[in-house]
Amino acid sequence: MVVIEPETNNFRELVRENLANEQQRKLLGDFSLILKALRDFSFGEMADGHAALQGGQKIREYAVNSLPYLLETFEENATKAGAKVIWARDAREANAFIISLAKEKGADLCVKGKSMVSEEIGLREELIKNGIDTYETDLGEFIVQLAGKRPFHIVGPAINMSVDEVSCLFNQVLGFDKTQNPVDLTMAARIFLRDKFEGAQIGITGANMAVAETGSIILVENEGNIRFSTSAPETHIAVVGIEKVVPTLSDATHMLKLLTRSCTGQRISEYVSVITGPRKAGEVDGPEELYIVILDNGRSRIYADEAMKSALQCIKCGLCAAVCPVYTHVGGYAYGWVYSGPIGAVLNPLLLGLGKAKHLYQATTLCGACKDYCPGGVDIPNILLSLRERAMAGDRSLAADRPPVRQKIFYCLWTWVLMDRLRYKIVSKLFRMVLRIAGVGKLPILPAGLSGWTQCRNMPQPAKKSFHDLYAETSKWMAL
Amino acid sequence: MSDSVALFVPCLVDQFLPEIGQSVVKVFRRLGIDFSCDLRQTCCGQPLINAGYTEGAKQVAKRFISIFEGPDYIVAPSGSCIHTVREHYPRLLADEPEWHKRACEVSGRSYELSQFLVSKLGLDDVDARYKARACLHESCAILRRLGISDEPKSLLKNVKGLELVPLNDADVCCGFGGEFAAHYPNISEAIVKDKANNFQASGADILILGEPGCLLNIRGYISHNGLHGRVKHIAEILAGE
Amino acid sequence: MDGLMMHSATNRSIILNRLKRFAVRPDAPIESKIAKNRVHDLDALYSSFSQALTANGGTVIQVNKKDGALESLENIMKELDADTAVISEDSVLKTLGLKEHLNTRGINVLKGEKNPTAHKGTCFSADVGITGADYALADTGTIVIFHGKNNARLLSLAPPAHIAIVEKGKLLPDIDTLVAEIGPSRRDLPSAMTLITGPSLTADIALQAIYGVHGPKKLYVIFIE
Repeated sequence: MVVIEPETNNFRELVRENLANEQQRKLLGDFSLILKALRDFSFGEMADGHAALQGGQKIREYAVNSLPYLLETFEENATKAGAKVIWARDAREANAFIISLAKEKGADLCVKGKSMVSEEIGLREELIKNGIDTYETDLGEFIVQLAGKRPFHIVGPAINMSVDEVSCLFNQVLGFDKTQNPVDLTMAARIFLRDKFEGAQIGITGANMAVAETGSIILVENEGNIRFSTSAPETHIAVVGIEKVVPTLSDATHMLKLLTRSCTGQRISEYVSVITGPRKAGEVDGPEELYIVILDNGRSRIYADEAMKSALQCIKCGLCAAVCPVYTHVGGYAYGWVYSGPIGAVLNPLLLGLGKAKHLYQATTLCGACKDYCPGGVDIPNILLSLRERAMAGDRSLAADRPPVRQKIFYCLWTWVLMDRLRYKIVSKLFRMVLRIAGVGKLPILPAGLSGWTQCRNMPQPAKKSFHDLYAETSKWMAL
Repeated sequence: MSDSVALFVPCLVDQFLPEIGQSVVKVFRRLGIDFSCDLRQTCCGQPLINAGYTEGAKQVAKRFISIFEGPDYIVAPSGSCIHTVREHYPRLLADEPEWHKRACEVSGRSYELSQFLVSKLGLDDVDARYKARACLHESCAILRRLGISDEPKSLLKNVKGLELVPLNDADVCCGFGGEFAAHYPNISEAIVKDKANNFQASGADILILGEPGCLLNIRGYISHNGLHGRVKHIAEILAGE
Repeated sequence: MDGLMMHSATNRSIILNRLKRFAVRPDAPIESKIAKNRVHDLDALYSSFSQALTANGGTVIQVNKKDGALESLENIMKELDADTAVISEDSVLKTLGLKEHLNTRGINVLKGEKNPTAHKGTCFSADVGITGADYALADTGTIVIFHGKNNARLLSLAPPAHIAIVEKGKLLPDIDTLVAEIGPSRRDLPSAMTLITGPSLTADIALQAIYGVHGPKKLYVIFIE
């Protein structure tokens, strides 16, 4: 197994690697196109897709603004329904609780549904380290677990592996016969995992939503592995980030409509499980105990920061990645950690520290497509700008590196030039003169910071006279 | 019209693309718009904001506000510059109530060129003539930040001799992003390459857009790679051949 | 464990207090909005349901009465070449005399187990699972099962085929009506409510759509008038 350490500061290297992978780029480009088209079609089908989108953004904003009160109501109702609600401040505490519970139950086998928050805390690795066999049961996650790799894409963790590669993997790790038929591979995984579903003592999932009104958690899937994980084992543990709560069941169904359409263009996923407490008396399946682990892990710090708060409105649909020009070219691996795409550019630095993910909030054009499409109403472009501000200021509370002195001096000088008309005129004239002397085309002498421009572009020929110069010579205007 | 109009000259236009400024002037004169161009202006400070250098950005913002407080309309041939004034100035100066008020006032009078002509002056025909087959790239700041899409299209529809063809993924970013293009050149190249390919595939000879930064980016890529086609600012098309 | 539970209580205070410094109290009661009561055109709803679920890979049948249902079931069992079935305790199935009928047709109806392990065993070994459904949502082609004593969870999940027999009168327009229908008893939801809108599906291997990866490969919904 692989303990997933963040590679977020390896960004430039990862980008280089991933951009060089032509096949992967084609896959990413095609997949993003398909996801965006499916999303647009499914929203177009709605009576008023735009209003529905805005409605969702409002729900998430309201929920986040009242978060602690809704969490209290959620806990109250979940407890009334028989669930046990546990609060964990960080990864260590959440894992410690879960391991200890598993040990108390004498569990040696655990089945897991796809859950980003559980990847965030490295739960699977902790369980395995403590002698509890743990299997991802979502087919894509199962494949990447066996391969010891990071998920490639939020929606399709292993879609970059060919049928042949998956076949070799299954053959190598599980002893399955090799095959070119993906149906056979899928059925082989089905048989293998059914055995685990039947034998596991613990099922672990995340939750797409936690409903305050009823104390329910809602889980969305297409395969059925989550239904198994929440129905077959005697104990179900759901790890839920504090931001997942929504006020009412009707709010939850509204968000559901946006979630599935944004994620895969489906009106609704094949299965939606609304779970309210463990099984009741007289029921023959379902868990005897349901533990809901409410996890902070840095979210309350984000909450306290007005500029960053809307990041918690995210519903983890993955649409921002599909519409992001950067993600579509570099892919998920380049983001180096659990979250990728625009929300990854925001969450990874906020959760890991700005200094640990310094490229993610710089390597963006701020085009704003993510914000336009986001059903949660996350203001990604402005959060990115705020992250840049904090990095420039060396904000220790966000674990930024020391303020970049050389850069600050550069921008200070730039400001100084812009603050006076004459200074601006002289400096810009000199600048243009230097550029003109060096000529059009590749300019090897461009300062390090700017030479990136000429790698694939010609330098624009600077004007002999600036617009200001031309305007000042009013006689020139008569000739126009 | 009797309202005063001030020309806001983006620094990229001033330094690299003065012909865009000249085109705006030509259009204004043709329409009989009395305008001024305050030569004290330097830059709106967008690069400073994008870099997160707020102390500098605030100073530059205040200077801009002081210069442009008089006129009824402030018009720029750029969406990102106008977006900076509209959205970022009030935000930057939020904790200085007096400046915040002044920022909001200036912000409320700032317009991108096509929006000014169509929505404020009610003109979608500026008596322009430009013979070409062209397509329109919808720059991010103009389309998404300012919500402007119909205005440039209706202006271009009325340009005599201009044949507009669709551009695939017209609303997708061109990969400029200010310093992003220089700091993450390989990613920027990947994005602008798509844009250039779509331009080539459109069958158009000219790519029209409303953003000087996008223009430098796409034009620079096309000329470097010897591709077909020219890139023009919408002001140049409206000014005519 | 007790130590950890106490820890949880402390964590709870710390987290909530931290959040409350920056939060606002909800200004509306935490109650779902109830949609207006409408008269439903069942035929139109059936038509929408059928279209939606069929497009999603399910099979939808409408029958007039008990005999029609039994006949449809037989045909499905033949089509599936099924030998064994598990059936739920749903009242609709009881009214049909389903168990007896299937037995006479040579289908082995596995005994409903009270022991969870044994129950798992029968569900995992059956060819078909037959259940009722509490509601059917027309716009998405979704059946809704309230799991409880009468409709165990694994019955509709473990066997490779699932047949749901639903009274036509249970058709609702959409999920919003469902929430309204659940009404004030929202606070007494079953331990699990599952919305099923088609067979189990994955595209995780090279983006190829494949049915029946974990859940049933086939889904049949039979509506009885």
